[in-house]
Amino acid sequence: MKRTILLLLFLASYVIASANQRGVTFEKDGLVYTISSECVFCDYKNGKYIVKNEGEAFVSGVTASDCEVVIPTVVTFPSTYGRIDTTEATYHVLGIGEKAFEGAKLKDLFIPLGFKFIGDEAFHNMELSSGVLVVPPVVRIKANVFDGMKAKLVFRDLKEASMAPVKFESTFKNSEHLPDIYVSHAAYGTRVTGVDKSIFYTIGETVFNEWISGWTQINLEKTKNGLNRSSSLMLSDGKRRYAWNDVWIKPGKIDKTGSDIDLLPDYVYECRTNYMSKSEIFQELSINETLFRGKKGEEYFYYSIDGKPITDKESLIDDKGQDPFGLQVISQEELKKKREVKEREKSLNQKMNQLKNILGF
Amino acid sequence: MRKFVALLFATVCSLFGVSAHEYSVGDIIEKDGVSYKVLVAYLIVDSKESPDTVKGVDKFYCSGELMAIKVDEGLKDVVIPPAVGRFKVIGLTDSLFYGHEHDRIWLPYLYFAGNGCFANLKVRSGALVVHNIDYLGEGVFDGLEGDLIFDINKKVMWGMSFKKMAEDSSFIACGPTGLVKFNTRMMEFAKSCPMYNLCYTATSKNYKAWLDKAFNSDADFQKNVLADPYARYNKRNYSTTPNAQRKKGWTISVGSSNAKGKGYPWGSLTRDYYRVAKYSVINKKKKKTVYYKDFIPVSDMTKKEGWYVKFVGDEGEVKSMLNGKIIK
Repeated sequence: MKRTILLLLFLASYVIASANQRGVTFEKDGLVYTISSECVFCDYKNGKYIVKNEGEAFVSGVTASDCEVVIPTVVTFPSTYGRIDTTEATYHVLGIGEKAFEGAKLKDLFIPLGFKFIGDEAFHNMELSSGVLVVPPVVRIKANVFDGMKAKLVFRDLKEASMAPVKFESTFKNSEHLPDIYVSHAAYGTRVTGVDKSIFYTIGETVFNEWISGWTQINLEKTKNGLNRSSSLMLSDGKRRYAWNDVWIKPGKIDKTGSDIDLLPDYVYECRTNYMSKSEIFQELSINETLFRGKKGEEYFYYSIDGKPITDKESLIDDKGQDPFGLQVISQEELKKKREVKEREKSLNQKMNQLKNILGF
Repeated sequence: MRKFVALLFATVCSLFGVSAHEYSVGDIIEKDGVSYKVLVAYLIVDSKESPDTVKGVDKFYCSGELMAIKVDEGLKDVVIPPAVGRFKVIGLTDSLFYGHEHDRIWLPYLYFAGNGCFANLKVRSGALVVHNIDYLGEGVFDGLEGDLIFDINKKVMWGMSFKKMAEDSSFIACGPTGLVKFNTRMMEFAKSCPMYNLCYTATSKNYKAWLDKAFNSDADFQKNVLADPYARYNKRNYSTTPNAQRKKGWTISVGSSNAKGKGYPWGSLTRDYYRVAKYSVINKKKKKTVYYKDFIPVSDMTKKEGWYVKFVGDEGEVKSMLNGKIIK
């Protein structure tokens, strides 16, 4: 019995597949996250490739109060999308959603480096007893984000070396209830878009370092524990190259600028095999030990693990009308009809055979 | 009769040497609760009356420089004007405001502020606003109770203004109890300030709000900087012949300089501060400049022009006709 359960679990881990969790909300350590996209990634460890799920999420709310809140750079949550070797997916936290901290009362709030966006009114009327909110460079900061916030606002920098200048999108439009905004003397000359810099106060290095000391410590620890993003998924011999005998699949995003900053564009998978004249772009990908499946438009394509296309899709469908990844390819009614047709064909054949025997053919 | 009056006036003028001398070096002037000491006196002309040539001894006016040496501790608002009469206020003596308590203080553009000038001062409005000050002494802002706003638009020689001597004779940092603030647009001048890494800057509305708070939102109080009714008397260049006569007479420019070695103030005491007049006299014909300590227009009714000039330098006196001819 125990063996059977283990076998079932083992099979389940390779076979179960479902749609990604885009838009799903979950709570962890006092913060509410919304998943914005998800995909299958591959990590190379101890000579083995481990297929796992990763994705992106953003902070969409807060349940904690009167405490110190540290927004992590990664957060985990159960996922069954695609093939999974573990029961959890790792989501990279990319930003803070609309009104996420509206009216929150916290001791302190730490925002990590590398965020892509902060949504409309994200810190509207937020209170921090520490008195200082340190904001690192963020690609896009939307409208009235800090309106009515009861704490000094310190921009740690207005530009990271590797990124474009911060884009303020009506961030300080409602100027009546703005907190005092500070940047370092050195950062004042940085080019930014969408803001009149005369609203900024500047502070000397000593004051600045004192104000951001807590933030720096938290982010140093985060950097140590940071997660390295997996890059591509390779089957066959697993070597990292464009070998035409291999199957090479790379997850990526086509629309990187999406106008909707909260829900990022979905992942796509660029796939090359020996049997393809050019790369295929799939919207979804599922893998098990013997084959993988890609979705293009409304149609599913199946390939053996060495990249050979499987044209006889019906051969993959089980008695329940599901493909090996649990996708209901044929509906129960259609299946019933097909069974009836088969039964009819079978009985007809039997009758024909009987008739042949009687007539002596 | 007319000749007699003219002769009498000329005699009086020649007795005093120069006309319209109001104060001499070392005189104390008191005005609106503040006492000033005359550091230097020199002659200027009225720019309206004399577009190029000064035509008589009565066209000269005495001007000079003052140092504030005492402020009445009972004053609520202290206004140190840019000038008292035709005398320009150029500096503040050592410890001028030491331990004082005032509501607001208005300071003009100054050449210097002495050691401990604002030490232990309490400004009830919450901030002391310093407009341009060229040179600062030692521990100028030590223990200043409130913020310190440097409303400057030129370079400041900070010296030891944010340091004071400890008991073991070493120098330790000192400064105001509040924040040190600048206009962001003047960052280039803030950079050399010893408090740069601790200071705050703002501009536009935010900066104006700082100033408004320091002056209790009183716009009139901030107009003190313009109160210089004798500005038209500040013409310091004149000629003894019309400018058209390029090869005759003298061109004279008056100014003042520090008398080093006689109590040069920085690091020492401004109480012994000396300034001396400095007349640059150019011979129009020879285009040669000679510097003199004094210039005295002398009335002489025996001559056609009615007056001649006398220069006093280290090597003695030189008398000259207005056309540049030396009188032996």
